[in-house]
Amino acid sequence: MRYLPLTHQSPLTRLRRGQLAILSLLLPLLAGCAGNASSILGPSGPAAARINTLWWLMFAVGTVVYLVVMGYLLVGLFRRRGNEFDAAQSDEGTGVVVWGGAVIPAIILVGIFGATVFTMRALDEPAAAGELIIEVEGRQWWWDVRYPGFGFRTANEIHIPVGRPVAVKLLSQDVIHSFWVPQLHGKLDMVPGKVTEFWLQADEPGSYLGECAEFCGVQHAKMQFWVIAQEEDDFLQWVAQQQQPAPQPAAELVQQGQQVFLDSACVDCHAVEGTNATGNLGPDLTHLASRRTLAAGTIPNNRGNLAGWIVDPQSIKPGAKMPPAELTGAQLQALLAYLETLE
Amino acid sequence: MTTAAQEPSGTAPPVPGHIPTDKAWDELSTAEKMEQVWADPPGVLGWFMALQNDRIGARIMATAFFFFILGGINALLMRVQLASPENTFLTAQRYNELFTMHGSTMMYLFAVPMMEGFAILLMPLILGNREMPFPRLGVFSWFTFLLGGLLFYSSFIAGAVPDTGWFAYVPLSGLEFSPDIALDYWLLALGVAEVAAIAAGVEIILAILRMRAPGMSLSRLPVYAWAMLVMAVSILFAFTPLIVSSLLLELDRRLGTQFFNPDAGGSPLLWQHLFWIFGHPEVYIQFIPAAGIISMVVPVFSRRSLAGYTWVVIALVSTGFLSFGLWVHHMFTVGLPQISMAFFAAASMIIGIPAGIQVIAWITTIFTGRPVFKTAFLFVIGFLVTFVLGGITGIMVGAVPFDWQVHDSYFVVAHFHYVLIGGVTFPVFAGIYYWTPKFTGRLLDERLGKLHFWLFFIGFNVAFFPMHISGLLGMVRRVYTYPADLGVGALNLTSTIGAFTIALGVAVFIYNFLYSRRRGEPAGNNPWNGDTLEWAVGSPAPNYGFAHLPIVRSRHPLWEQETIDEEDDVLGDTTNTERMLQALSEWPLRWRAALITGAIDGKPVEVFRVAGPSIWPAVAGIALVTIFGSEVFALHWLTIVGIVVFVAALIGWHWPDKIPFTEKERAFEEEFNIPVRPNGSVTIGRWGMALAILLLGIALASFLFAYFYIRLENPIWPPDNIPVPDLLLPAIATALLLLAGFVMGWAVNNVRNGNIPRLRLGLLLVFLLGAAALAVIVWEYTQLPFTWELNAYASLFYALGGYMMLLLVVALGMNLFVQVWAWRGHYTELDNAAVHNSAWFVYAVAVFWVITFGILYLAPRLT
Amino acid sequence: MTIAPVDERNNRPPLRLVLAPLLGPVTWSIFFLAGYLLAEAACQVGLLQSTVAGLDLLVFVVLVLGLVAAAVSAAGALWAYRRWRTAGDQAPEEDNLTAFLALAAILLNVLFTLATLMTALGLIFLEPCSWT
Repeated sequence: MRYLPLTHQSPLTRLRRGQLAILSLLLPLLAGCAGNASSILGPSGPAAARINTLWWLMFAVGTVVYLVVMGYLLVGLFRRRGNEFDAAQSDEGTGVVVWGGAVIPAIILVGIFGATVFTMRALDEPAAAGELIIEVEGRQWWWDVRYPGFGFRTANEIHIPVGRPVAVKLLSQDVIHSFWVPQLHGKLDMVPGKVTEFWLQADEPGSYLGECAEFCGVQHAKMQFWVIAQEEDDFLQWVAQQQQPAPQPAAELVQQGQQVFLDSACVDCHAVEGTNATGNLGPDLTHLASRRTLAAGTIPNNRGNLAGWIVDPQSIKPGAKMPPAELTGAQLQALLAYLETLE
Repeated sequence: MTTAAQEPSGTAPPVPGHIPTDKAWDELSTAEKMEQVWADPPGVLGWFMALQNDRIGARIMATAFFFFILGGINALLMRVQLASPENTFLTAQRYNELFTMHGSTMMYLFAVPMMEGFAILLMPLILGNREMPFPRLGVFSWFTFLLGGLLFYSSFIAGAVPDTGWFAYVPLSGLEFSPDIALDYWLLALGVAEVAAIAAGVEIILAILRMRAPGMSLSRLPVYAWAMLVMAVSILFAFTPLIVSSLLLELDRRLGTQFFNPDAGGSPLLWQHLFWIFGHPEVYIQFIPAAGIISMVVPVFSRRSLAGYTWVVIALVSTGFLSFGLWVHHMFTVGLPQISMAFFAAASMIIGIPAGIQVIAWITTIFTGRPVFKTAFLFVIGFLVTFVLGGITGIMVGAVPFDWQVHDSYFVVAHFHYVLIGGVTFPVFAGIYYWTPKFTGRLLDERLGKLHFWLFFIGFNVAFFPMHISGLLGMVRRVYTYPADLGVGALNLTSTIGAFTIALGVAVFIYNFLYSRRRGEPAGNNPWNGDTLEWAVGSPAPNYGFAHLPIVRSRHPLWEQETIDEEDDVLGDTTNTERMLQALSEWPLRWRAALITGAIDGKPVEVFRVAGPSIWPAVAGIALVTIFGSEVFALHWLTIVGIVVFVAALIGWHWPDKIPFTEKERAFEEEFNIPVRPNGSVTIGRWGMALAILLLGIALASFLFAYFYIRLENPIWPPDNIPVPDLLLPAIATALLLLAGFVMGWAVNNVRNGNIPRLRLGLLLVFLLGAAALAVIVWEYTQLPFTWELNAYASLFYALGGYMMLLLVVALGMNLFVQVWAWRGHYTELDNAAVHNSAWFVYAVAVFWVITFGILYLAPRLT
Repeated sequence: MTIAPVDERNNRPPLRLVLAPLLGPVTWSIFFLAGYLLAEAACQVGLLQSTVAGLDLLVFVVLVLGLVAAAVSAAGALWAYRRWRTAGDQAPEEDNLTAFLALAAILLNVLFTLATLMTALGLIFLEPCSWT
């Protein structure tokens, strides 16, 4: 099922030649699979790139250590021994233990610790990140996304401008979630009673998969989102569009649909700016039609899926908090027509 | 003692738990008499009373293996579900239940009990003694473990299976998000199984420190014993905070306390801290004994001694310490200050050094030895190949920024299966192939064993290596399915195939075990030409272990000593120790005599009677599980019944079963200049009490950690306009308790001098003072202007106070028990271990109260 | 090789020597816990928010604690080394409890001196209370 128009480029092009050599030597499988939108090895921002460098450093050191130790073991197991050799009397080997087991590992580990500390330091939030702050609240099992500086709310899709850092404030009021966009940065938890903050930056326009990484209940598996990095102009255009309230319905069917919506239980949970629907328990639907997925990355946003999701959400995402809507066929058609206008 | 009764002759011995026999006692040979005294009683009741260490050790291991199979079945079902993207073999809910049960089973019900079972089974033989110090505690531990585990799995029958992971993070595991009893199952059933682990740990510590063969100084202690010692001490320090945190969560769920509620000053992160203070050492609690097994198997199959013994020992000890400085590395992603993360990253790196020392020591031993490729040794090689890889990825995840990426991804799943299956399960199988012949008398089949190894080894790598890549590609953990777009379908299918190959390997093992038990090749005493003492006795090992206790003069007694019952190969004359051990092999044949040795130098210190079979430990275990089990269903009346039975069982368990101190005992004492204690050892009792107090102190420290942590979460302390607590009443209680401590010391001095009337007076005064203090504290609490439901501060105030009240009640109960026996004229200047023990407990409670008083009442005045 | 009987050899070593191997680990544990709790306290409640010698006060305090702890462990190693020098050549280590304990004390104290230094020195380079 290929459900999203992805504009990623092959992460391989970003690997340095030395890394590529190791890669092709040892893990062709890994290289072959690195072309998805969530690979740690295909970083698309400076933070993920720093971490990627740390990984390849540790991978190289680790591989050498592993091969040396295994070589020692293999030779030790199968080397020829003279007949006069009396192993039982042997008490040699302490020197090897001291140097090979303690001193050399200590040096390597101090080195890796140094690399760790310097990478941590390099990942400090840049001051410029404060210019755009996005609040993301993890909910069971979707993401409430707010742009306080621009005064609007959306869900399961985060747009950011490319080439500059963006501060992300993470919150939760139900259980612990964890916010992870592998191609942009590591993960950071959303802990009730606490606000955590870090930053994202994408270097290239594109769509990057985000996932919930902390087990958060029955539908933890289907709690994804997309980070969509856009050129500054496109981003501002998107912002301007999202700031608009929902358009007043013109067509008759759409008007009927709005009425179905406003008369139904939908409004208890969902908000549409510009109407009386101000529910806060579910995603804001003001610009539902502009989003790419439904149910937090579970299904592509198209008419058929939307209908299925409204009528029987529990078969698509069992345990989701959304109850099925009891609608006649006509009501459903009207409702769909209305929702499709919410661009 | 002045009773000079002669041993009755011609009848069965006057010792509880003996086996009636059709032969007259006098007609039995020495070995038969020994067997009689040490054998477990027959019949159904005897099955509940049986306490031989090899019986109990084998039962614990069999039970742990049973849970291993259950945990494995959980895993196979999960692997079927994950074999393809968007699979619908399992529902999301079922999958979440299965991964919770899988992790909890393997961590709580398989690995730790398996290692403890090994220790209880082997330790007396490896140490060259006859029994564990507290055989009844072993029985209690096994019943508690078995029934606790079954209670846990009965959640499937009740239809309320725990579903929040083996870590049960709040708030997800709190009442709001997990309202049914599934989490109560998790907290209470596993809680009681943890009690079993601690009980066994106490016993293992004492066995290693105080019950060795003469001459087995610390510098000659087998590495396996070092490993088990470090493991058992770590169990005390790790499982106690877990029990405390489980208790706090259960209180949040059932009584409405606010420890973890951020809206009332609590903190969800407090749970994570307390859980990982247990959870990280937990994996080393599994790995350290596994490393101990490897250090035994490698030298024997390399036919040389272990390279760098001292280095390996200090590696084990330092691993034990460092493992407690790693807990936050499971919390690198929760948003902690950089400085805190750097602390834990440093410790995570440092712990690579002791691991490196051991790995190089093992490989160097192989390199400079002459390897013999038996199945046990193949599992060692499999261990080295996989564990080293897991260790390297372990260092990687200790690097904080990389951990931000792979935390909770399949990379971590791959990592910890490499260290837990590679580092623990492979050694367990190595140990089983190595030691089974000692207990069944027959070798396991080598051809089946090799088939088992190759299936297991290949299956393991096929299953878990691809998970590294799945993780790097962004697959997160604990998901019941994944989209095809993630590009990990083929990798997951491979993992599933590997998992079933592992299962096939385990099936071959089970067949091999059952087949070889009856038809295997007879093993003889020492089939592998082992160097340690267990290989000196017959296979299967006799109940009493060593009739003639060995004398140790080397790290490798069977390789380097010509005999193991002489102190000297050259000198002709027999030494006192030799003569004493010779005498001990023929006497006493009417009670279960074992030897206590010096903790450091391994010199003989005391001959004492090990407790015999009794029904009460089993009753206590069953009652304890009943208490926890009935609380799952909130059947409080049954809980009360359980508590009554439990207390009764404890009294029955410790009821003195005196046997006379005869002329023979006296003569033995005088001839060999060693105390003989047919009514239990003061030394062992005192060490046992010291460990119990240590446990209670660790629990107190856990409460204090919670208090301090919550303090930091609240800018104003006490919060919500609660006034700083008044000092008068608690100060009075403090004075009363300190006074009680002094009076107790006075009473102890008096019993030492044989002044029994003053002992009685002292005990009575202590009881009155303690009761008065308890009354004052209870009164103080009834006057508090808040309940525990108000906020986290209030909850902590009640929790700490409640803990102290509980300790006081226990101290008073202990005092009553001792008092009754004091009035019945039980204690003398020589025989007063119980008085000492209850005195230590009184001192400990007084000190704990002073600390609690300082924290609860004085500290808020300072800030 | 003549081995002396158990009773005459392995005379019980002094308590100091028995405890010496644990000096480093225990010192490290105390430093580790104190440093960690201090960091949490400082970053949560806002204690120790000033600078000394160009370093954040918190870092400075933890660093001093670390250096003291490292000095204690190192002194323990040195003390044990002296004991080991005098005891080491009497008998092989397994028959020489004093030498064994002294060697264990040297190794553990050196290892934990390193652990303490590494834990403390890493802090110089970090923003103490920043999250990411």
